[in-house]
Amino acid sequence: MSGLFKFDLFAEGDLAVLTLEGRIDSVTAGSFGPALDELMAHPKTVKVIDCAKLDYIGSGGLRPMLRMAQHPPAGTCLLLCSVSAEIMTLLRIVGFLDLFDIVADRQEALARAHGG
Amino acid sequence: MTVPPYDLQDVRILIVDDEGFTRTVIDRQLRELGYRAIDEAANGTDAMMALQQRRYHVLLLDLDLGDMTGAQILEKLRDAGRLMDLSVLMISSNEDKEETLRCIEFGAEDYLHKPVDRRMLRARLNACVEKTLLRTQMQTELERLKRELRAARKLQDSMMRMTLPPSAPDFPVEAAAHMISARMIGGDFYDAFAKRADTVCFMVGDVSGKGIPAALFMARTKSLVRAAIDYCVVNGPGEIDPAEVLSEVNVELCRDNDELMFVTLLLGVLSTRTMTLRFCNAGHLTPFVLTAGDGPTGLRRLEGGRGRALGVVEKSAYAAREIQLAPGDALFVLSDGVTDALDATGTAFGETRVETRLRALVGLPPSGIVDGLLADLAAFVGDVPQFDDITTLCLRIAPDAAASLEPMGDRKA
Repeated sequence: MSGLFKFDLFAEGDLAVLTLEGRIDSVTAGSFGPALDELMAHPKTVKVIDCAKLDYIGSGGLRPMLRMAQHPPAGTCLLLCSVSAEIMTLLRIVGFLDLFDIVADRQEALARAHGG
Repeated sequence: MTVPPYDLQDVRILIVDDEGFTRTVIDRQLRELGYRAIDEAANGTDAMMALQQRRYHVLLLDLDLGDMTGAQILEKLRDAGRLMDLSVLMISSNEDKEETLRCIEFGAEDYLHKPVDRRMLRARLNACVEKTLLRTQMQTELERLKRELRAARKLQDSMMRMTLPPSAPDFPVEAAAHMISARMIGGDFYDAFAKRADTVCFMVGDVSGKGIPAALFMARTKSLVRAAIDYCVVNGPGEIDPAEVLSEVNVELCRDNDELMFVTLLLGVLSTRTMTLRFCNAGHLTPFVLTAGDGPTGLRRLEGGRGRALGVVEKSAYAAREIQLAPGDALFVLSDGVTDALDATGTAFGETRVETRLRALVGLPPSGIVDGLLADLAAFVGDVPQFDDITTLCLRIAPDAAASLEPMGDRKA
């Protein structure tokens, strides 16, 4: 069984927010890529991936996220927020912690958007 | 996918009608349209026999045949899986609307009214033949893909073969490994081989993603690691440095890797003479050490020697760590397919279960440890489909190695 994966994309103040929920594994990774593309195409330049409800992400899900973080479209900024302890551990193990810009929550992301 | 060009003369048609007059009329119309391979059957029994003996593209089928109904024939064909490469057109009169619809539900493509209009016959036949040819083409294509995947699987299986000599007094190392792909081919891999008579190199890797791209990246990584080790052996008189090997491999994997595929990899270099292990862990799960020698038995993690997963950042730094092992010590390396495997309630197997199980397996030979853990994992998972590749590798220094090592120590390295 591979649990459900849901996402939502919306604008919040000066942020484009993509909330992730459930599991991103090899079965559900297929719908994660397009969700990320939508986020990157959003007119707001500060983009946040909210991981508060993300239970699991496998390497197949990390790859597209890493690609966005490494090669963001010009003038945009990609942040991760509300990353659980488990996912932080995973990022530390694979050595990707320093490749993502991680903030505590959407408030902090907003502060960053305003030049914080 | 487009319809391949075809010759009307090659389209094989069977007319099944109990009225000889109708058969003759349709036969003549078909010949006028250019069709040549036409057979006839006057009842259900003859029709079924003809269908068994020959491959037809189109079946023109009357609703009532005396011994059988058209619907019964359709049902038989459907149950035998024959409707994939055979199109059926019902021949009906205006009053049989209900029965005609029933046949279409059973899998008939379309219908023709009696008396059959020639233009209508041509249009319906064209549509039928094209559909049949497309279906056949798709089937052929699918079969070809399946054959290629099976060949790729065979090739991949042949790559998962450890080439270590059997354990002996002058080579006191035992090994076992197993990889279970979630799909036909996968991105996990392992390898173990001997170098320079007293050195064992081993690795376990996990490529991001699944299927063919992951398998190709896996094959590339494995070959690069082997080549980099060979280069070290030829060019350096000293020990093989796993960090140097992985640095080289990382640079190579970063080249033209726009999709940012990456691989986590644990590379170990074990000296059978000194029983020292040098390892470098590029983003892989932390392995385990099972201690079962003369001293206290137990389980610990093989921490340290960490670097980033390979293929992402060219300028990543890798540093190796060295530890001393003792006779009876076993190393257990796994991929996250083990820890992330889910049971029916959605609970992951997890590292705690791995640890608990390994504690119970301390002292067993590598095959016992690998099989024991995988059996426990299989029981936990039940019939829940596997979503990630599962790999385990275990290496053990033979418990009686100490005595045999003494004379080895006097030899020149």
